[in-house]
Amino acid sequence: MVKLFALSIFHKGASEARLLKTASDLQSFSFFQRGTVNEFMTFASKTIVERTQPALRQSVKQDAYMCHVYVRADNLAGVLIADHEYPHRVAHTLITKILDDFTAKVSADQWPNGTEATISFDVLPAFLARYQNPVEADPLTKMQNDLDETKIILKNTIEAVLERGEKLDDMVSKSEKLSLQSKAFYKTAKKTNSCCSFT
Amino acid sequence: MFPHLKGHGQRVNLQLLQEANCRELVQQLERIEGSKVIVLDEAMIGPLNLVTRPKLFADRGIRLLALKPELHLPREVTNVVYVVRPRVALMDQLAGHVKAGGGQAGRQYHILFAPRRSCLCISQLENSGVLGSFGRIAELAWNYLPLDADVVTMELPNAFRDVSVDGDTSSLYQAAVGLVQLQRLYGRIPKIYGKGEQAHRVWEHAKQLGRDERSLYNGDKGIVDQLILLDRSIDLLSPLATQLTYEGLIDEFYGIRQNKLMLPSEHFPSDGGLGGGAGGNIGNGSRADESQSLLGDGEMKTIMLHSGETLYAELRNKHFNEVTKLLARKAREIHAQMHATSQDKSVKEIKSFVENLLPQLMAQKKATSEHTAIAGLLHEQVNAVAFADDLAAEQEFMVCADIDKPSAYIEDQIASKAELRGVLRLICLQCAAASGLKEKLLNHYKRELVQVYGLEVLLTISNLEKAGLLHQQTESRAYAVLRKTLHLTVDDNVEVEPKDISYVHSFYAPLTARLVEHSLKPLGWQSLKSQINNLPGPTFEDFQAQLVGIGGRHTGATVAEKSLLHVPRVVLVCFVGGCTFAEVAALRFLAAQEDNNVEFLIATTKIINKHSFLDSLMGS
Repeated sequence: MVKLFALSIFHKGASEARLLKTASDLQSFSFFQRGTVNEFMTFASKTIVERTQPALRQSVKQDAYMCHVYVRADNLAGVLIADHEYPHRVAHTLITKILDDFTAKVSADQWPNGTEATISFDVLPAFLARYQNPVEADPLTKMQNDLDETKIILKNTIEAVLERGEKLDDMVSKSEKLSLQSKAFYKTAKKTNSCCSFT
Repeated sequence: MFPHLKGHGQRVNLQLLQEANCRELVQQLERIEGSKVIVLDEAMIGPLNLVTRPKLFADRGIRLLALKPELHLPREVTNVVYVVRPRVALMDQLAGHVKAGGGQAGRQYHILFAPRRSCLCISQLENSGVLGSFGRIAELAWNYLPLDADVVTMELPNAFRDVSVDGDTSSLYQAAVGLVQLQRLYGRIPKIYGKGEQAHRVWEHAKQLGRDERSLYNGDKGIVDQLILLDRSIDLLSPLATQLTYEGLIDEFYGIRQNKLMLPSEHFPSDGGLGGGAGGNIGNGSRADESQSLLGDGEMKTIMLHSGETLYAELRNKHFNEVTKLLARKAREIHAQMHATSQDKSVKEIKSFVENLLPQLMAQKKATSEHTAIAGLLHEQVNAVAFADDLAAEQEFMVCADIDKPSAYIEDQIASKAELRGVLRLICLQCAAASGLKEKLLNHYKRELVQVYGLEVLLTISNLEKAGLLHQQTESRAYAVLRKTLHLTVDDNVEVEPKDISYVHSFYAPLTARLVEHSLKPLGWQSLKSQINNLPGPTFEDFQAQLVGIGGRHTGATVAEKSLLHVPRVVLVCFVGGCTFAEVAALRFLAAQEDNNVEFLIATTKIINKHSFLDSLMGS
């Protein structure tokens, strides 16, 4: 089951990472757990940004989760926490995309000092929701999936064509049977005694 | 038009013969002005298919009709062209048509006799008073017709009977004319060998006719290096024996007519959209041709059986037991190839598969399916008790077991009034293997036959005696001796992947094939001198040398044969009186042996089998 849990944007400062915006989808967790999980995820994201060099992408396994991080050269960073099955490529595509969007909407001077409250960038939850299904969201994956589906249809069609006429399996078993039942045509002629042979 | 006639890398191209024959017909037709309809004698329908395609007639707006006593000729047609064998009996039908169509203004009747006109026929027309209505009476010189890449046939099913029973030697003359025609196309044949009375006559005619052909003597020798003429009467056992090759069995049980096999379509799983040629489709591949189906019958499936059909070409000459194994292997291979597609493949690979391999694979599947069905039918027939018993009796004769005694099996068959043809076959077989039956035994059989089948059977017996299939024993036991010296029967018989031609009847090599096999050896028939003289008729040898100078003198007696090591010699084997598919298979086997370095071209009056051979002798 592919699942996205949290999507956050940080600014990597000299000493620490500053959370600028975040969105999370903790539906899969029980109500009481959510708070804790949320904190944990924020903390993990922050840590990972601090530990990642600029102009670097990483995907780090953390227990049951996979943290995808991209720290840009200008110290703008995006973190996506997903499960292990979520395709990495799609994750990083998403991070790149939101960072580009963020850069377009929020001017760079706000980054070093902004907080969640001050920065207005509301599209994160929408992105998170949309990318829950990587196939739909990501055109490349979608194409690959379509291709795979097409191949299966092709294969089925070819098999249908091949089965036209006699069923292949029938033909194989019929001919197998025939070849096993071959009998010797020449039995060495015996010199028959004139003794009677009742046929 | 008939690509399979070219063969694969062989020296003789029979497509030339087909084209020459076709041209001949077209030229004859073009001499007749106006709209035409062609009425065909039943015996000519098959031969027509060997040489022309329906398109030829469709393009010229010519309809083809079968000759029937009550024939409805379309009104608007100005010319009615009959293409018939020169049989007097047919002339009455023609006369009938002319009289019935009496009032038709402007209608002209014409006849193309194939291959030669007959004075008797023309007199018959005169006697019927219709000769005046006939415009053009010409000859369609179709002597040898190409049956496959290495076989030519005259399509004369009664040739042997005509000569041996009725004393009508016209087929011999025709064979000679045919040989000269072949030499016109393929060049002079320098060396001739032969055995048998009728074979000798054919050669004498051909030599005479050849002398009149300037072109034969002016050039180098042609493609064919040798001609071997074999009279059917030197080996009467082989056509009576049950053939065990795939093609032989099909012919014996179902009859192959000019490369076509027709079977009820219920035996074949439906083809869906990919084929299913019901009706008389000619040739393989041109589905666009809508054939003039004179035999048209939607219930029957027509299967083409010639060397152009790849799978058939592989199977036809093999022993039936090898065929079933091959078919099973083919089916498995196709199955494997088809399921290879289920593995992960890129779209490109799938695309290439669909464009290149798939159509081929589908064709292979269809062929394998058809032949598995045919093999299944044969299998049923071959496992019938009656067949097995007959075969056992036949095989005992062929190894000369108890050959001089009345056969209990034959007596039982007569007593249970089994099919006369089958009984006569076995008696003739015994006679052939014993090189003649003792008088007492022969009379014994005759008495039994008359008692059960009635006095009429004596007429048939008389025919068989005239034909030499039933005769009394003389001193020489030619077959018994030849069986040992030529290894006609073998003890260690091999049916699957054989090394010897005896596989065609499981353990018996046709005498004719052994004779040809020996002729390929360096000494040729010299080594067989004494034995071969035991066979009836003259053993002859001749040559046709190149003429040098205006006086037309021959060059030296020896013909310098440049034997090029890698070029196989071409030997034309001419069976006077018919040959079986088993004999053809045996010769093809010899040709396939690299060591023999030979290519055969087989000429025959007709391809026969044990049934048709006896039928021709039993009819009146």
